[in-house]
Amino acid sequence: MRNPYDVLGISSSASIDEVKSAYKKLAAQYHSDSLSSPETEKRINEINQAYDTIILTRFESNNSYQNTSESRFSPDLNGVREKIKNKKYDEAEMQLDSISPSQRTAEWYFLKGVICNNRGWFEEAKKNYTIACQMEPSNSEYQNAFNSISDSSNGGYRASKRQGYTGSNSSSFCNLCNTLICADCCCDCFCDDSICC
Amino acid sequence: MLMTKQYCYYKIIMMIIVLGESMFGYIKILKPELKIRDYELYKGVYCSLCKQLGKDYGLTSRFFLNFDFTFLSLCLLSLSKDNCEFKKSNCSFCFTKKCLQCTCKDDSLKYAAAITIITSYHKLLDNISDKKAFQKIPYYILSKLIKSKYNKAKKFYPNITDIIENQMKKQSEFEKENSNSIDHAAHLTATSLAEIFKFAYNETDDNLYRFGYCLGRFIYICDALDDLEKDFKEKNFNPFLSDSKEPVDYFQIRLRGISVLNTTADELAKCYELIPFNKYKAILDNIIYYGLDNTINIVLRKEEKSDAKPV
Repeated sequence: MRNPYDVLGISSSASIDEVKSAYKKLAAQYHSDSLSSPETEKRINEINQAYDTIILTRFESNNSYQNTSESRFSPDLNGVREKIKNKKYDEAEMQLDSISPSQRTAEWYFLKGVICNNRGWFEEAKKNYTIACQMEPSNSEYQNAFNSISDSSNGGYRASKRQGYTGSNSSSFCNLCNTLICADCCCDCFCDDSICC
Repeated sequence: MLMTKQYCYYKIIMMIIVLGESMFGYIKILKPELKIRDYELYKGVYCSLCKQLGKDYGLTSRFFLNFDFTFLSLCLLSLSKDNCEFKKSNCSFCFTKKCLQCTCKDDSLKYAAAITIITSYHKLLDNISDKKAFQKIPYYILSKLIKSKYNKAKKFYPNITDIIENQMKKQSEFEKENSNSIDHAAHLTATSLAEIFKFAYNETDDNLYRFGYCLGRFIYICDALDDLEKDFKEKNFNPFLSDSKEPVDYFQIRLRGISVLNTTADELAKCYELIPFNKYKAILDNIIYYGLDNTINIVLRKEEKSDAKPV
């Protein structure tokens, strides 16, 4: 697979808007080609995959809450979200920690999880996401974050990239023999022995 | 005279390596999934790093060659703009063998060699502080042997050496606290590796930093899980052990270990795809998608270790 940034023709520091506009431009260009040769289809697939990879891996934690209306959030946590968006994790965490434990909401735990995840503290992140989900099970934002990290802890992402390797297979010839013997046993129950032994 | 001195060094080091445990080597290829030509290339990078170690730090330093830093050189060579070519040349350990040698002009291999020396030295110091009385001796001798090489590497790359020294100092302080947070325990090693990657590439690339971070975290956790039984017996620090009650529930610890390692490896894979590696893609893919899984299996099921001898 090519580097997704090369596929979209942008630099690796591009903002989310730049990624989106580059994707739209390329998608429009290829869809306007009325001849749908296998080459074009392959290219469209590649563009889609590149876009998904960039969005999923880089903006996942940010864009999941860009779409939701901001008025829903408690006012003092909006500042934290803003800081996370600007990658000021230390400041964001300090602000979070200044809130007393009795006033910590589901959102507090979720944001704490986002910070941990961005730092690479995955175990802590998962713990916080879990608490957030327990406190507010209906919130899809928290649920998505939790599902994503749970999938990771099963190695789901790498498994989806592997093609067909299943570890050390037992020899297929052996399996064939076993199947034959089993089938023969079954046969014996109903009629004559098909393999004399 | 010189020859005999060198020979003595060899004997000592070989003995210690046979007696002691392997120090690194968690980031490896999965051989059955690799094409022969890629395998030859991988071996070529391995040999080139060995040669570089010999050139810069003398013959004895070659014993510290390991797979983790072969992976580092592979990444650096892959990122470098220089078009490396490989040519066959003699191996200095076996006269009949010929291996591929990288003829790269830039500093990738030199840097990887320096990092190998620096981290090996710190690992030795760490071992000395962990062991009791007589077991300290082999590590003590080894660390004295590579002290001069360490100073040489420090002269080449003073900045990164300082960073690593700092992290290691904090690590030993942290271990005294006996905390059970794996994130905390792995943070310092992970940061060192993140800095190593960042320093090599000189560009402020968040993905590369995170890539290095996850890699360091992976290595640290593998090491901790690998030493689980031994640390319990010798009462050494291990983040997986510090909170558990007397009958240690190894099954639960292993479950926790699998989940943490998988998360780390998955994040590593996600970062990997965003970094513009442009050469040796097949080898790197193999390591990330297959090799890491193989390592997780080996670490968690120790009895299989003997079957999975690398290269």
